Amino acid sequence: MSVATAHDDHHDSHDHGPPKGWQRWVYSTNHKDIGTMYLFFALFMLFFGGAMAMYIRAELFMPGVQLANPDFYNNMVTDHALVMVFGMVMPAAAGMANWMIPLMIGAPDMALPRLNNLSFWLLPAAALMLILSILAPYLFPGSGGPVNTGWTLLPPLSIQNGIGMDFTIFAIHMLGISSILASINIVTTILNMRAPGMTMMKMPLFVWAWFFTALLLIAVMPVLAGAVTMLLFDRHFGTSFFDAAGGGDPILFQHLFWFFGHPEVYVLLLPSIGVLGLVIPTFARKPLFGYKALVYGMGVLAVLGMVVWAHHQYTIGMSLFATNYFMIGTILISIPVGLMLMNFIFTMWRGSMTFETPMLFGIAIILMFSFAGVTGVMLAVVPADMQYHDTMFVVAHFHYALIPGAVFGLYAGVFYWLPKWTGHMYDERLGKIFFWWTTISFNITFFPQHFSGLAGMPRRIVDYSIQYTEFNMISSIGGFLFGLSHLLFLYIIIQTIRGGKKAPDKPWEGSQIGTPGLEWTLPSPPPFHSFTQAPVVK
Amino acid sequence: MMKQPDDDKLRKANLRVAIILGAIALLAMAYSFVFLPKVLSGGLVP
Repeated sequence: MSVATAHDDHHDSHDHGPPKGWQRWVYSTNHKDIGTMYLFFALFMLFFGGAMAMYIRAELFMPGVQLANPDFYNNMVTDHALVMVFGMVMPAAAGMANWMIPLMIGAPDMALPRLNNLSFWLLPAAALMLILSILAPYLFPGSGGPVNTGWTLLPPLSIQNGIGMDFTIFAIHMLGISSILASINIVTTILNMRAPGMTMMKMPLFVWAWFFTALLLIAVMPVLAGAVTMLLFDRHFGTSFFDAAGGGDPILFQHLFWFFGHPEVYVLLLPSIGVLGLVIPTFARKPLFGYKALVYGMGVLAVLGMVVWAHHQYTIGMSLFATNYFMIGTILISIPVGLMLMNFIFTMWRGSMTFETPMLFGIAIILMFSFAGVTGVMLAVVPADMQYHDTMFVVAHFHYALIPGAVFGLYAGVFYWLPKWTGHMYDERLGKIFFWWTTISFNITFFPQHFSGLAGMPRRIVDYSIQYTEFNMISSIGGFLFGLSHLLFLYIIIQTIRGGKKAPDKPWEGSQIGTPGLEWTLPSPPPFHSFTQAPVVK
Repeated sequence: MMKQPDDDKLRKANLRVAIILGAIALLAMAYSFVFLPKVLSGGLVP
């Protein structure tokens, strides 16, 4: 992109600085403050959902029921997924979008700042509902057992669940409204608020990634909201959408859920692909290879992702035509994904590479996400999937997709932008220790699950046959190490916020290479009000 | 693209895009109640 000249008026007389005290946060309409709140919320939920994962791995350390009853185990499996997907990855990506999109495109704020405030503040209320869904069986004895359906909330079990399911449904409603409002805001900002000269094809890849993510969310999140509303009606108002006894069809819920659930995978992945599109050119010191192909590839990925949902349900007994369609469609997804990964590799090819923490995460993503792609193609093939369905192989596959694909992308983003956000450089040595610690322990945790799955160990079961003991022990040890590594992550973040080496405006040597946005024209940290006069991009 | 940040026109344009996107979201919700069950009862589920 050509050099941007900005009227850097961030020290002008209108810059009155942030309000003081709690009002700054509760009433905030500032995109940076709201972004910060999103990121801290996600960090809290990372530890909340992570604690559930630690319980799951402790329970599976040995065969037999160790720590709590099977219903509680299934509740933890359910809420671990809901918390990590809706409470951690999505808010963290939304926090980065809030912080960076206006800075990248030269906008003074998000297009709809008050809506932005509402989008964030719905999240803590939803989190409270989720916590209540866990506590409901204990707070209201006799109101039914815990939510034990898994995150898919499949009927008829979800119709029979206790009051905790109602709290879960309301939590999903609020999380859904929050996501839809945030997405509307992001699309509007990208379409209307770009600085003069910042054409769509000059936007950084992260902005494009969020553009497609937000469109996907607007299209599919309401479908989930509709489905859980029907579930609520079946539970309390005598309808039979999903109740076979009343002429309904539980399979219908599966279709509705996965019509949302599969695109949701791309909602989680795309922002991280956007981060990769910035990190790799920066540390390879080479322009992004095939920028336009990457943009179109993300568009194709978003469209294909919306029409292949039933590959999660091969075992329900669909027609041969439908099965073939979903199988071929799913395998086709490997084309845009492969294209993106190859573009990133070609960007690195003959580059002057250095291996700072964000770049290390970037390379790990390419390697480990490709591995998830391979097991994904295995799962897309119908006869093979009949064997793998509902085994630990699936758990291994989607954790390889979502932890490197989504979570490591977020870590790369955190380390890449921490200097810009805080004005301080993080401790590079600790960052590298964190990278190796998480990457190695992640593989110790999830690699053995491919084997236990292929050997037939079912997922979502509190107990298992003694033949799977060694695989599970290794997995649990890896899991504890993986969990522990995040204390270091927390320490690095706190340490960087509190002080450290002063970060320059462009903390990375290669940050102006490729298709950077206007964020590097601002100081680190940027002023409370930035781009109050539109910069001009030449 | 933005011209003047506080431009009243920009505010109206933002609102217009938001309303269109909101309408798409409402249609998507209606889709889950109306369209998908119809397709599935006639086609994908034997």
